[in-house]
Amino acid sequence: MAVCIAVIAKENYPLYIRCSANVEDELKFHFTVHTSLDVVEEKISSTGKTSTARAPDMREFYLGQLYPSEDYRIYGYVTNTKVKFVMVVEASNTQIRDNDVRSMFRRLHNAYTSVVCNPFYILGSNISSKAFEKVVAGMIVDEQKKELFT
Amino acid sequence: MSVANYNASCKQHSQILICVQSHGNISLTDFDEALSRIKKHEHLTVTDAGRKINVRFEVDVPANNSEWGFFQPHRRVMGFIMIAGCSTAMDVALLHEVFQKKKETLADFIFDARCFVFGMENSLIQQRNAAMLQYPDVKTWKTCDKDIEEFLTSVFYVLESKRLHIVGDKSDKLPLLTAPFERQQVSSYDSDSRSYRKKCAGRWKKHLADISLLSGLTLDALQNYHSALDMLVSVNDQVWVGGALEGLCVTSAIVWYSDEDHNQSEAGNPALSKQALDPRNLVSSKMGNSATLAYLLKYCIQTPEDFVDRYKEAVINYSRCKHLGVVELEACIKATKVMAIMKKSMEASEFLQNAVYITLNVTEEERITRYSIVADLYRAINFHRKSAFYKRVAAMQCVAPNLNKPNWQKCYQLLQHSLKGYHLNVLGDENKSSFDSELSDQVKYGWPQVRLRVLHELVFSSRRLGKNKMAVRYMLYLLMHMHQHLLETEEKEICAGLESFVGKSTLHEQNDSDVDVHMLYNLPQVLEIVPKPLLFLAQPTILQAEQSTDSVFLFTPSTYQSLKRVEQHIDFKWCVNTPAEIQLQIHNPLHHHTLHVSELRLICESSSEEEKEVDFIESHQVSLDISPNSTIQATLVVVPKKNRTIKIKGYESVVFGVRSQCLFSDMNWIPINLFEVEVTPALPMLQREFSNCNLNCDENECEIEVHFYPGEIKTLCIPYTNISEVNLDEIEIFLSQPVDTHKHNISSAVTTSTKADKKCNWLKLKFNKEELNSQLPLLPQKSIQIPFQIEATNVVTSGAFDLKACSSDVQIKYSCLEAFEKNWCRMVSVKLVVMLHPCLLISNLNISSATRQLNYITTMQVENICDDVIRVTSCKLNCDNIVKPTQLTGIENGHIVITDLDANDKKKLKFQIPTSTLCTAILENKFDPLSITSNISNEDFIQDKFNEAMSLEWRTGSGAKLRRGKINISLCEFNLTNFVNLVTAPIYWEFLVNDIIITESGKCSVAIGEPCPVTIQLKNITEHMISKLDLELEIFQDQENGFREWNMEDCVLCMGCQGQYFEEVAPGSSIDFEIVLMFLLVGQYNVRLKRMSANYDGISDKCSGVLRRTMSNQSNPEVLSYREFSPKVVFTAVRK
Repeated sequence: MAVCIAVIAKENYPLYIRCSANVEDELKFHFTVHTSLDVVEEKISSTGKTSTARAPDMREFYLGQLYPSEDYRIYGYVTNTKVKFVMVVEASNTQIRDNDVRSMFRRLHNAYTSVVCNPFYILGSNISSKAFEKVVAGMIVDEQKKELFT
Repeated sequence: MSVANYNASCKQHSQILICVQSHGNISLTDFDEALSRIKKHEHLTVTDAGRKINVRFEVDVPANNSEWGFFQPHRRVMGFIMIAGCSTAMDVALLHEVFQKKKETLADFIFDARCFVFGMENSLIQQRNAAMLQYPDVKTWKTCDKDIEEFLTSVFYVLESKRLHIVGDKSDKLPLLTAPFERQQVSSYDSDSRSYRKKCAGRWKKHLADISLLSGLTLDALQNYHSALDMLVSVNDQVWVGGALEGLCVTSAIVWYSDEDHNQSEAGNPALSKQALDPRNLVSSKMGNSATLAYLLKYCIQTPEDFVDRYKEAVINYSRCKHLGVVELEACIKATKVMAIMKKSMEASEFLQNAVYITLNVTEEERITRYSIVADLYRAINFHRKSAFYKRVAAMQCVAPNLNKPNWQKCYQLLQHSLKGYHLNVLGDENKSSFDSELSDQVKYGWPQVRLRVLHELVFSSRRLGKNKMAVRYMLYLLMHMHQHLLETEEKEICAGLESFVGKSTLHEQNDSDVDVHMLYNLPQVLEIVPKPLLFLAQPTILQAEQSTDSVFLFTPSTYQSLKRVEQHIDFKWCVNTPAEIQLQIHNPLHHHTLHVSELRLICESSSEEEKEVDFIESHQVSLDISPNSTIQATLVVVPKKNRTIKIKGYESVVFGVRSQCLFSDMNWIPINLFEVEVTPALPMLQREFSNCNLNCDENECEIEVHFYPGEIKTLCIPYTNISEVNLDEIEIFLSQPVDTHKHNISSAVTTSTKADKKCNWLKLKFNKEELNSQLPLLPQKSIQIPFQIEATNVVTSGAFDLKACSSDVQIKYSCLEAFEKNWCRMVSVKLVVMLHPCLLISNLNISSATRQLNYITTMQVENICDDVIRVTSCKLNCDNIVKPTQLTGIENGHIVITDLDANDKKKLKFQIPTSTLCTAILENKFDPLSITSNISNEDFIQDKFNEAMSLEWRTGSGAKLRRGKINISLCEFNLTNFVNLVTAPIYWEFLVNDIIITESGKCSVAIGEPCPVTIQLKNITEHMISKLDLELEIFQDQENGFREWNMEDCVLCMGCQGQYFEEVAPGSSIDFEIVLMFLLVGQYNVRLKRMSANYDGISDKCSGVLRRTMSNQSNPEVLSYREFSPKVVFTAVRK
């Protein structure tokens, strides 16, 4: 499944980022996610131009694959409020289809919504919700576990 | 081809490549100048052929690149220029050989070559060879333009001839054109097959197209590319299809964007634009006109999408062949550049992504260049984060651990370039317009982990390079902006690092003239700034309030609205030479490090615009330590030196050896841009001398308590010292109306409640202005006594009271001459609290008429209710006046001592006082003695006069402790009788018996049966006419048992009229009432004259009518005044 999941605020700073446990260089993912924001912004601005005629809430949140790299595929998702979700998937993992990613993002969005609904959560602060953590943990399955299952 | 051109662009496809090389001892500057002059000829119009060609000059082209000339002719070196320096003919000869050799090695590729020799003296120059030109100096190379043009034209014509040759060659048997890596494969092809021939023709077409493009025939090129594509696609010649596709794309791009390109280059090259105006160039300029362009566009790729697809196809074709790595890479770079212009960022990023993954065997240096170029391209398509990422990758490559010689300089530079991508604004250009609002958000937030890493790397590399200043800057940035993300160890490390620089940098700074100023707004963070008013005593105030409303309206919303967040005008003033304070709340945001702030002081600006003043203020500096995560309060002291408005704009401090200047206008958490404080001229300053014990002084107010007995008069001196350096020239004292205060608790004098403030009527305050002014001017360090005269008057002394308190605010305003003119002064405020204690109680005041006319009797009871022995004196009365007590103590200081009272002693006093003491005053006041009722309205006046006549005083103690005061009896209760008795009767009676006046004695002895002539003279002693005077003689016997016998008909014979009437008595005149009495029986007879009351109001006559016998104590004749009755005379009738 996913190797890294990040939630990024409207102002493009990280609200939440988590990598799978066996990743040794977490900073690499920070860089990966950070650079992917360029593509996200580009996609938002280009869709923003074309979708003015349509109702704004009809806009597709899922941005698809942002860019491929040698080892990973990076997917993006943008909510109405310009909060971005970025998911990094290993390129070798061919089981994941586009639709799977889409549904994962939707679950993530739901989890994020419930985080925001919490009256004690200050908008724009780092996410530390346990429920959210659990949802993300469900999506990030580290290698060791996978080995255990198989 | 191993060396990639990372600066590849589409334009290069249309440029003839000329290689430039230096040789011999030519200086670098000369070479650069020559090169720049040559490079001006990048565009050349060959007028004869009507073409416009483009040229690219490159220094030291890798030789094997030219071998690709058949595949892509723009890679082939077509001309060779050698720039050499020679000084002797020998050198020239040697050079010639070198040049020839070089020409030979390039002979396969080049069409022409030139050698420019500089440094020969004019006399030595021998132009032997057309290809080798000699000039004394680069600067004097006048024929440069001509030489280069000639050379380029020659190259062009060779190329053109080649082109014409290919166009004209219709032979079937054309050799197969090959890229260098294909040569081995050629033999394997079946040269007779149809596909082979088609492949040949197609490749030639493609080559022709390339050459056409180079020789300025864009249309031909496009047409040929199309036909080449048709042929090559059909035979599936992948590499050449790719080449043709790229050629087509590139040519299209050139057609589309040539205008932009052209404009740019023409703007930069005025010589060229002049050339374009030449009429001979008309042929070529036709190319650019719209009709031709439209025709051209028909052959171009139509849409940008199509362009992307075609180019992608070309790259895919290249990628299928492992030898074409460089070509593919360059194609990607070129495509990205075009797409950046087309604003196709997403597509461009795909090409770039591809370019990154092309594996080439390159040197480390080339790899760095590649990443750097990729980063630049990413920036061109607005992918700043990607750009930054690759810049950083390139930087890391510079210092990769496997390198022998890590290039820290380059690493540092590349890292610096990456800062923008991480929205890091270390160099402090925050206010630049390039940062719009959205971006500044990102500057504010950013991606902490990534930023931290980059900044740490920058710190490391700059330290490595010895750029301590920059290292400090990065570390400060880390502390300022990233401290909440720093780990404890990191924070400590940075702080330690900074501190270690302190020692070095201070040494540095002394030498360094340009100490750059940092703005450490949150290191420490100043949370609040409060300028403090001066101490109350030192505060300057306005001497006289002026009415200074600019507008006729007291409040206008327009001015109110215009009061924006610009400045705060402060309603207090500072004074020259008086230290003023400003309070700062300073916060240390660091979690683990105690911040040492030194040289903290304010940045002030004077309001005067004439000159930049320096000495208008003395700003004292402070050093402090702020422990981690805490806020402290600091007080800064400034001493204004000149009389003008001071603007406090910010503060200055040194933290970690770094000087920082912070302005309030840049600190948005402080609501004020600058503080403006007005400074008044230097003022003197008075300080109270603490000599008196009975004062309660706090910072603002001074309270002096004085204890009084009623009627006491005291002079109170308050001593002050001038503690300033200025003379005190003016002093003014303002006394407020005293108000009653109630003392709840006598011991604690402070608890005076002013709740029920009433005007106090018993306290009189005065000060002596002359005495005060005589002490002026007061020099510095000299003292002054401010005298007050305090008098407690008008205190009711008849009734007992506990304690009265009264206070008055005294304002002493003082100033020096200079400030006085400008209406400024300082003020000392003293509160005088007067405590009034009761001492004497006067009661039972009674005034009755005396037996003697023109006198009255006053009786009163005096009670001493205080603890001291009190002596009652008077300055007006004398021994004769005092009836009781009979024993007199004597005379003291001109005062007659009436009595001494011990504590709680009670005594009755009786005085006989002549009415004349009151008389004059009454007359002055046009007092009508006839009408009593009208006089009652003058009650107070009369009482005062009475009080004055008595002039009673008390005194207690002796020597220094002597206290004295007046006794005010005017406030005692007066009844009507008192009044009547007090006022002089209008008539003075004189009783004559046998022409002897007996008024004084009131006694007369007569024999019975003898006539006794009695004359009563009435004198009008008023200034008024007394009219209708109806008089009647009364004779009665007082039985002295309370009864009077009025029936005297048997005892006394009256000869004459017993009642007489006078119309009027003029003022000062007398009338006589004459009668002869004959007493018949022995006894005592009282005789008096009565004035009938019919003609005046007031007292009714109770004795008229038939009543003949009355009680003697009723309407006691003793009490009756001389208004109605004459003094009675007692006739004692005896037998003869």
